[in-house]
Amino acid sequence: MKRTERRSTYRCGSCRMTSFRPWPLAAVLVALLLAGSFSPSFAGSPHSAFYSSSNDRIFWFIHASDTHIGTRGSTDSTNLQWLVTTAKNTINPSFIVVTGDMTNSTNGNILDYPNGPYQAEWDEYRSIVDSNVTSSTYYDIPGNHEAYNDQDFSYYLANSVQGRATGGTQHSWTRSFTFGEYHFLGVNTADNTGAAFSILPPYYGDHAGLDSTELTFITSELQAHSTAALTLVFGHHPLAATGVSTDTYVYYGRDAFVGLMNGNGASLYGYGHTHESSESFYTAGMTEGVFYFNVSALGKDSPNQYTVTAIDCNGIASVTQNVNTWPVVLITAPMDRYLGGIANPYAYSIPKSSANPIRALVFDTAAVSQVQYRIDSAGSWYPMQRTATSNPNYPHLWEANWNASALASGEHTIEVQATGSTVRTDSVRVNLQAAATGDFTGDCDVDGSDLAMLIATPSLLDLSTFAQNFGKNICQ
Amino acid sequence: MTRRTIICMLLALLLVLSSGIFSMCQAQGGGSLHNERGWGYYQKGFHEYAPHNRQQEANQYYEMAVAEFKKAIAANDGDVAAHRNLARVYHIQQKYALSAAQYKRVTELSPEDVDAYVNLAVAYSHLNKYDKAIEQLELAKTKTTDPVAIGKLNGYIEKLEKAR
Repeated sequence: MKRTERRSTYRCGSCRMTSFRPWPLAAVLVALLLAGSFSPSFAGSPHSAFYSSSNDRIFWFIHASDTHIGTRGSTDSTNLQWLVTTAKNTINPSFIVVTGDMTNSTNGNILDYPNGPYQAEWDEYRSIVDSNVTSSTYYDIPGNHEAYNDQDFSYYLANSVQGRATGGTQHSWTRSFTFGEYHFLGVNTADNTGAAFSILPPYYGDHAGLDSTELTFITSELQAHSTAALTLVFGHHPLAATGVSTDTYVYYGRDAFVGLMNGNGASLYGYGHTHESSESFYTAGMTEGVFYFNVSALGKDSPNQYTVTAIDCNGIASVTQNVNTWPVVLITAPMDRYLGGIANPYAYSIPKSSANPIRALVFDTAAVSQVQYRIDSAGSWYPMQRTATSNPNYPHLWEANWNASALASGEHTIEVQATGSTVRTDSVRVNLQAAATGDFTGDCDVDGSDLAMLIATPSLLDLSTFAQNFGKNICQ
Repeated sequence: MTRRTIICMLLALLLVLSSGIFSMCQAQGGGSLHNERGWGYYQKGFHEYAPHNRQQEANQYYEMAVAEFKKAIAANDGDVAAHRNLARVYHIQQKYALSAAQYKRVTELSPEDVDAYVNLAVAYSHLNKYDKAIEQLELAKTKTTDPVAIGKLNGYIEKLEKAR
């Protein structure tokens, strides 16, 4: 039903122009000529992901959470040190976002009872981060352990990287490239009452939420970056109950917040708090939904994990990995049809082309001797090459052309295996479209979005076939 | 009873209830003048100076807070908010024996305050008095029927048993 709503919007747009008659080849050619060096741009829409042979429209970042400096008997400090040195230097992310609970607020008490804040924990935190990151590369936002007994977040503001840099508890930043601007927003979901931690339900001292001041900031920042190619949002708490009664979540302001993400085309909500990693798709109160990624604690409990998220031609890819394990392997194109655990609406179908691009990021502290791919978990492995020769800005990016022309239409699995410190594999599932119709976005319409993709990657389909289908709804 | 009397009684009840809610909200800083003043000093030391590593100034405010909380208690030993606040400041000052004594008094004055038992247990654990800490947590278990809270208390007891 949701899909129909979106399609009908497209159809009305096309309807006025074309009356659903196939455009003549000449008209498409004119459109192509007019487009010239036009780059596909779909402002603020998670639907803007496209499949392309362009290997220079990619960037990536690290999402970590719950560093919990001050936890008794943990490797909290060691793990944070590793994140901002070894991981940062090896992965070279565009930035690192840490979604709350930087300190444990226990000062190592045996019970692990958070009765802080403690300046000693913040001193330890600062001794690790200050010499290794800056406020333009590291975004730490508050969690419930920053909120206990501290209504004004005075310790967070005086000691966190972003608190010191901005004087605020919520943060908005962008990354700009020749291929577009991307907007990131860190929201403060923590309780604003300064309540002490409690062992008693329902809130355990953590009445989390977003008040009107916080929502005003969010509204204003989303509006200020309404032309961003993608918008990704981060907070400490989950948006809804997790099923674990002690997992507090955003109790107030949630509907307004979700409405803002929905209305402004946000693609992802990343959070921590639960000390579990999961990848799902949040749809409640939304037209379609956002990728809903939870990352485990870096400094407490186990496993201690972090996530590398890449954006490749506006398609999101993500891998969560234990600290100090290598290599990190992340297929960035094609986009995983099941990212978020469902056949998500933002993934594209891919054509039965003889030269389908496959790209993967591989990071390792040791040399990477081999990267290869195979299809459907069987048959031969095929080599991938570094893009470094043609694209020296991306030394960690590997690519290959996959001949999918002889495969049956439908779902297929792509695996990429890298040999470095160890051998590690990432996989995605893709939908190979039944016929080369030109509906590259998979929305049933062969329209301007598909034309933009064809301009970016002419090998996707021959022009005459595309012209014949242009303006058609191929699902009818 | 006339309708007017009933309305007046309802209004009076509403007033009593709302003032009760208000006093609960103000539990930390409210109560006696000395308690409120002490809370203000604590806030200044803990939130204005300590986060900026200005420990000397923070300590001065903590001492002023302690003096005020003591005055509040001297005037009314049943002032549970003052005992709780004094316990908190002693804890921040790492005066765990004094903190424990105040939390103990809180549990006596407010025996259903489950978190006070846990705070008392934390203070005892800093003093390596693990048996006494466990004793308080066992007592706390009798004050709640919530399975999650009881689970947490059992978790704390387990940690203390490992430590002793």
